[in-house]
Amino acid sequence: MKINPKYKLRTLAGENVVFLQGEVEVKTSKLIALNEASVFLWNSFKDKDFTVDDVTNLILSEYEVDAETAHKDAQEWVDSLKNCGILE
Amino acid sequence: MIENLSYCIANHVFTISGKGMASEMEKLNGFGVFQTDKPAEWSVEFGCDLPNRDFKLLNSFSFEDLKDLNCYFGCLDDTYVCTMKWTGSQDEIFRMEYSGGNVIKATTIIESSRLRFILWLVFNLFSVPLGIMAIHSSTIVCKGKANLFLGESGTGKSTHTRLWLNNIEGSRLLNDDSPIVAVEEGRVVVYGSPWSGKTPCYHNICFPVNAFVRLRQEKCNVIEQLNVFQAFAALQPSTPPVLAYSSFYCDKIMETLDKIISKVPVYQLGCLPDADAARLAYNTLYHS
Repeated sequence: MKINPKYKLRTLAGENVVFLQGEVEVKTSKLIALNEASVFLWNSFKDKDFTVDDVTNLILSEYEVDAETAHKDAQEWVDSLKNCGILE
Repeated sequence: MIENLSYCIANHVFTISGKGMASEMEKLNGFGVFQTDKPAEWSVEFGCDLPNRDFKLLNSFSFEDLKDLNCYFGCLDDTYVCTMKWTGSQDEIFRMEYSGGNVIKATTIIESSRLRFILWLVFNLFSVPLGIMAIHSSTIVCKGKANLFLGESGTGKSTHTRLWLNNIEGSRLLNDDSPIVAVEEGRVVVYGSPWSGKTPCYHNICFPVNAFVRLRQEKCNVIEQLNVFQAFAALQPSTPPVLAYSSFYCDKIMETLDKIISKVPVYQLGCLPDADAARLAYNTLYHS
């Protein structure tokens, strides 16, 4: 999977956000706020193909957590991006 | 005869050329005070011959005062295209193309309200990349600073600002529909414009912005300052909707909103159409 390159991480008055603009058929737009860890993951995996295991491994190398927690957090991060329609 | 007329809006000069355009412009209320002899940075040429080419549709809408006329906005490679067609007809009655740079080309347009809209679009196509854009609002100036009241059509923006004029001493209207907001030398400022909706209120002047206030009809008067995310949700719908679905323009609008929200407070005012609503807003915005 991959982060759709049309979505860009940016700052909005100091907050880290991704803006999902609607389209001509579906005009609803969304603003997604990212915390520091999520920004780190975003910057690590943008423009790359990655798996949940890749995310787990990065979390394990960066944060002091056990494998189970890392896998759970990785899955949650991927799921939330999926739910927002950010992954392709 | 080709005629040129130049206008200075939000400190940027654009020139309009094309056969008969001078007399068409004279019929348009509000542009006179913006006319200038200064050299133009941007130009729009009417009366061009533009072949009908298909393009990727980004947005389409009809006009409030002319529901049978449909306007289409989209892009073809690096060219932005705007066309108009009557409902049920395949014939384009108008086409405009912008391929970047300082020139926009258009076919002939002679109906005043559509010309007014097209000039608004032309201005925003040129200005938005520079961080200068129309914000749909009714704007009050008080104590040398401007307050922009935002809201969907029919929320009561003009009603609320009329309550300021009648109840808040020293307040006056800068614009009733589409003033131009810019970030200049770190300051957020607002300029009057020739686009003022149904109220003829055309001022070629500029003020620092004191606050943005999104209006909502309520059963009582209540005001709160919005956090960053709420402020964005309050302001974004008031930026030029026609450009919102272009990723280039959306990006530029986001950059400008970032600067605006960093510098100026954004409030939400739930209000009745009464004098107390204006007084509550005034007392909050001016900390008195």
